[in-house]
Amino acid sequence: MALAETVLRKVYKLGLLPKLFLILPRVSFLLALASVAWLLMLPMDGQFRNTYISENALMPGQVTSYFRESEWNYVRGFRSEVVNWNFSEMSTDNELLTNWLQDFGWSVSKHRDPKTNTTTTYAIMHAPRGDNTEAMVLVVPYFTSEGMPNKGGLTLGPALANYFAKMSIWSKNLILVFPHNGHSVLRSWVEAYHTTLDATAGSIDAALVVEYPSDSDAFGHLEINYEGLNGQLPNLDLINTVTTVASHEGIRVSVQGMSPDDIDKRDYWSRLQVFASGILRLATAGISSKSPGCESFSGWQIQAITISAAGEKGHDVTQFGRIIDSSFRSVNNLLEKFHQSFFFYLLMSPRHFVSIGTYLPAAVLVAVSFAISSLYSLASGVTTPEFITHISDVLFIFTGIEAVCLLLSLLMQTIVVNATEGYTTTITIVYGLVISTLVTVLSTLAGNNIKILSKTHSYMLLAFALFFIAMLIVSMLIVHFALAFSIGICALPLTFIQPLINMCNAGNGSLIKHKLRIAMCLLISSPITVVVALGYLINDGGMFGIANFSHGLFVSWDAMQSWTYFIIALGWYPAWSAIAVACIFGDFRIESVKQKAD
Amino acid sequence: MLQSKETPYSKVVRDRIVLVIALFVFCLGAPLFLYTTRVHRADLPVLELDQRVETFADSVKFRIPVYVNSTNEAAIAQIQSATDNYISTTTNLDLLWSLEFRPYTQEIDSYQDYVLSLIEDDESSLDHLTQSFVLSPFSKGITVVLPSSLSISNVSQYVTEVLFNQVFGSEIQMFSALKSNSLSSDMSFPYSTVFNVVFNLFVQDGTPVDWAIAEAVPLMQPIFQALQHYCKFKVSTQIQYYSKLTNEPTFNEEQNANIISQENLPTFVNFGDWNLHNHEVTPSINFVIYFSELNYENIPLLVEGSETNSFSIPQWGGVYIYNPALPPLEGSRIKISESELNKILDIFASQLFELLGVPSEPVSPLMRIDSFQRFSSYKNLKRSLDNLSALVKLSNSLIGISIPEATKTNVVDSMARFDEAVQNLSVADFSHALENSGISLESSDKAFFEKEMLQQAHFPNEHKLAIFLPLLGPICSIVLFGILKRFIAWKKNRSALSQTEKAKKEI
Amino acid sequence: MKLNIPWLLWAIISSVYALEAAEAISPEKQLSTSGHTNNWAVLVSTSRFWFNYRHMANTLSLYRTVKRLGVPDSQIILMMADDIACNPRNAFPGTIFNNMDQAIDLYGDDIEVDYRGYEVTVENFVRLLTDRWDENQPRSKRLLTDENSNVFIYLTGHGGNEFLKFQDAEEIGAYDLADTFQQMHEKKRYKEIFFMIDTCQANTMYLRIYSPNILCVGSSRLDESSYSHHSDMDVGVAVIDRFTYYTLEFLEKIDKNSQTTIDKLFEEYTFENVHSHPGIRTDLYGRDPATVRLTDFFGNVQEVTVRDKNELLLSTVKSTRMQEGQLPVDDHEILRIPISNKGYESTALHQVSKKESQIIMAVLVAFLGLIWAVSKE
Repeated sequence: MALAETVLRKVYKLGLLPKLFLILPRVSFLLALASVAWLLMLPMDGQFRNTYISENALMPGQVTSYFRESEWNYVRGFRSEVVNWNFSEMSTDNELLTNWLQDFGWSVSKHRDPKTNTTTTYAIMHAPRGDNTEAMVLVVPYFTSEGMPNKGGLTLGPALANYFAKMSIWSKNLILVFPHNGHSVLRSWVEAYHTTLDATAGSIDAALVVEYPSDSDAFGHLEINYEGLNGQLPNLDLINTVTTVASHEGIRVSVQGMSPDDIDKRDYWSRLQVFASGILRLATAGISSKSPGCESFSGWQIQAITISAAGEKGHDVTQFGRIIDSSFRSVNNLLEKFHQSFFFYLLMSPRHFVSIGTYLPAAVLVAVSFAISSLYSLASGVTTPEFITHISDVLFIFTGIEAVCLLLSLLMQTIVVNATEGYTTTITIVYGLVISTLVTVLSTLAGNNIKILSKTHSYMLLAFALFFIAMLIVSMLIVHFALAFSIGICALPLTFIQPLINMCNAGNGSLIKHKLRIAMCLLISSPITVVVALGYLINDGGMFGIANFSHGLFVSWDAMQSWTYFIIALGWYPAWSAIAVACIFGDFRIESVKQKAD
Repeated sequence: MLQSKETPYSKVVRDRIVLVIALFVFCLGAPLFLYTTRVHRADLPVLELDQRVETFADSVKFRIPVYVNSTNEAAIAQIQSATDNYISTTTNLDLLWSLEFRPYTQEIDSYQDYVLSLIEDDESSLDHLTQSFVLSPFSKGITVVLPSSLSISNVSQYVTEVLFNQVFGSEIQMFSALKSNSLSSDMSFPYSTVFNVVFNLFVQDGTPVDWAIAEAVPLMQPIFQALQHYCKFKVSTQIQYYSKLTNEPTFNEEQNANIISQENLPTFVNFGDWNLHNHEVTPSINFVIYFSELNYENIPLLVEGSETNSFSIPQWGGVYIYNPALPPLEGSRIKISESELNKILDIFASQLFELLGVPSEPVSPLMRIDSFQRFSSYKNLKRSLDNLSALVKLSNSLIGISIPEATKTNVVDSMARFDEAVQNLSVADFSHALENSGISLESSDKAFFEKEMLQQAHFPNEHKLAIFLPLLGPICSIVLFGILKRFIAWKKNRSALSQTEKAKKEI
Repeated sequence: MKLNIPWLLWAIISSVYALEAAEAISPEKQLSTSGHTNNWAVLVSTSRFWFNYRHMANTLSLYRTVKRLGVPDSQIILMMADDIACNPRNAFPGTIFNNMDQAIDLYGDDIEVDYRGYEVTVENFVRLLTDRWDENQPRSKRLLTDENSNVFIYLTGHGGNEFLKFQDAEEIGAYDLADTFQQMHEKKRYKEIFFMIDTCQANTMYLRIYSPNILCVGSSRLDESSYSHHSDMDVGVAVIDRFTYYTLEFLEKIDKNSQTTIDKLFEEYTFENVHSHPGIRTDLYGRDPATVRLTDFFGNVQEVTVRDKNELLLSTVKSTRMQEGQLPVDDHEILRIPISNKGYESTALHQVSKKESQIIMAVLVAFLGLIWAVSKE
């Protein structure tokens, strides 16, 4: 006690507090910088780890797969049929495929989904000697994430079904699913499997979504997609298993859409690229309609990844089948669900990763940065008694903003989901939002005529909004690092507003310049700006991309049960609005600030 | 020094509280802790056991009465001294084993006691001094025929020779071996109070075979009766079909027979495939009659080098391979008749003797069983004490092992039976001595093999410390320091007092 | 290829030297005899699960070998923690192989597993060795050894520093094992023990043993793993461990009548073969391993006796009159302390009974009252 007392007295004596207060904005910014630097540092040699199989039972690549020469003819035979199919028609009712599967001894069932108005065919093979409680799923969507007909996939599906049925080693049941696409249709099947379907085969341990759009015998390399919804990732052991199996076959593996030329590059930039792309994709998982399919299994404790054949030549189609076969054999060796290895990680390459403990500090730093800013803005204009008397008012105001946001977000979502012309509606709404944002931003430039909020309220509202973001980041820290960190970085300009206001009050520099800067900060950190920009930039978007992305965001909860929309609409957006409200209606003029600084 | 503002009364109260807590912890807490955390260890009667071990040589004695039927009264004493001399000079059984010669009277029954009849043979000529002896094949009678002219010392020497070479030869050998701990018996079953005797008929194929076993089993009863003091027998029988051989026998053209070679005999019994399990707790002696399917083709299956076509497997049982005397008629069902079984059981009886460890000499089964009983009692008593000593040694060396009350009960029981057996021996009641020694051994085994006496969780002391320290450490340290503080204060107080007194005195 | 020539040369030269050395240092030692009359084997695989296939295969391989060398099934106690032959993942149902050539099905005929699945526990293992059972334990599941028995004990599974895991749930410690052996020794349950263990850090398991006439071999020393030898790509698992593989490879070469000594087996245990440092402990063992035949442990001396003559016992015994008789009682007093139960009646507690806990509570309450009383003004 004495020590603390002495330290505090010393601090007081030396007048450290005011000095500390002055450098708070710099500390906050430095922390944000450190956070980014931290992440930038991770792809450097020595900072990341090599992946390894942590579950002894998996034993990937330890078994000879006989999906080779003898199965060639099956594959070709099926393909000669598949290439003639009209995929959009066949995807709802495929008599031929049903017959094939039934001939191989699989029991075929259908799932009708009223929401997407599709019928999904799926087949179950009960393991002859298994205990009938667990299952592995092979998903072959009719259309790949790129919208291409999944010709190779639909060739391999029945060929593997035929091959699997001949083997007696299964301890888990096998399920083959043929959804129209890997997005909402698959998602609705997964949901139905766990709720309403009659023909089931036990709890699903792992799922592979297969994409092989070409109808040629050859492919170049394997692409793995693994991001799940709401920050969930498949167990790293599953990715390791497939990677190991592929390397046993001599096939190169790429993640995050690395081009084949980059796969062999083992430099900092390629790792950083994969790493950054991983964060971005994880943050936006479930929104883009080009999602790979594996995320449809999120939320049911199912480890799922998507493997796609990319490239033109090098390996043949049975090798792709062997990867599936061998991976399934590995998962089949498991005694229970995946429980070893990592559930939270970020990949640098198929064979390198950082685990949660290593990257988590980055998001913590951002959160701290927001917290410090919040403290700064409190300290700028609020005394402790004021704080105590006004905190309930601020909470009331913020709750009001939150309630408006909730209503608006639900309204917009309902409109988009139920609209017959989803895209048009979305574009209309996006226009509305963009305009409202611009209006808001511009109104901050206007003179401070309408002072509805008192000085204390303004400061406290600003401080609370920043604190709210800090808490938002902290609460999502572990479960959804990517989104937490992304929001933190995008909303970072909000922390500059208070120092700018203080500068205005101090009277150094031109007022209008400061105001312009404040408006810029608000504009940049608005979720609407970010969503529009992302839509424009990623997935070769352009204007269509904006509509697509926004639409995805609006329907993501309905279609995929992704939380992202609500986190933005009820976390980020209210905080932003609160700051905007404080800027427009707030009274920040202080004479006492100067006195205080003295 | 700072003066505390405490009232003297509160000081006293504090002293009292410290005292009460210290008393509580040391007088009540510590004993309770030790009391409740200790492993239960019954006190074993170690002293009593040690005494029995020490006096073993004095107390366990075999004095076998032999009744001498002779006209010559002096012969008894002479023979007695000659045999005693023989035992002390040529064997290591002095004190342990001796013969006691007594004069024969009419009431003595040679089926119960050894009767040595000395018969003078006058008819033989003086040139041909022929000495001969006859051992009864049924009773315990020994008849020695001597020329009347033979001197008494020669008579006693001859009688000694007959007794020790023919009658008690194997017994003495076994006793000596056991006494010097050099006995290694491969063949016989370890002692048990109950044995299961299982008669099995194993048929190679599935063709039904009958056997008159129900009628034949009573034939074994006299044998079991004869061994009743050693153990009890429980008899069961079974037939099993499709009992394949592990090794194919070799066909011998000369004999027109299949021969099982000597080296294949140990693996003849197919332990894995033939259902030989029974869930009896007591050991089983298995007797197998094997019926080969080639009997239908009139090709006998023979054991190499065996007249009786049988062999015994150590500590397991006996095997007889059945070949019908006449080739079976086509389509008729084979039945092993009672008379055939009688012969087979005869072989099994001999095998039973062998498997139990009954000596093969002399001819008379009574004498053999008698020797066997004495020898077994000695073995049992010795083992019983060995077991108990081992138990005591073990309980002393393994501190963590618990010794349940049942163990002690068994130890006490075993020793009581031991005493009884010794008592029986002292009156030459060998059958009851055997019974008691058997129970003593069994109890000592039970004591040692008590189920609850299982040590399997060894905790190094560091682990115990790690568990108990967080629990007891804070309390103990507070109490200890409290007491220490009071103690120092008290000492200071005393020295201050004495100083003031001194000062007073000086004044 | 250039590099290979000096390598080859070196190999030739060294092998020549090795040959010479072998000849030079082998003055034939006299074989010693152990004097045992029966052989027993306890073979234990302690791990469950499909991926531990090799532990089951290790154990069954040794089972097959000791059986081939003549130990009868009734004297082999086989403990298998899992049934991988019937595991659905087994591509060859009902079989277990210890080599990728799949030449020998270890799970073929005549496998008698005495303890299987969840019966394989530390408790049962200790009970087996010390023979402390319920009264109704079947004899086929007991180790009925005596002072003339040579016992071969083989353990395999996942081990650590001074422990061996059983069933993924519990473990036996080196101290427990040592005490168990001591109990066997006290009860004269063995003549000699050959203790072999193939686990990670196996050598730590035998360090605490202190009973005489035990020869110990382990596959790896402290902080060292034991490795598997190879995988069968059709079964999809590693099928045998290195240490056991080389043990078996050697034992395959001997037969029932072999005079091969045990030190020749130890010579197989090189780092090159096993990829870890196998340990051999001989200080407890009375004989020089160079004079001990392998068949002292792996073979069986059990010989059958062929009966030649028929003694006609039945009729002989039948004709004797077996009678009970009382002999005159002769007073013969032996001085000894009488045994009375009284002095030994136990006072120790097994556990605190309800009544006792009530008393303790009452004392505590009284104690608190006392404190209150003394501190009251």
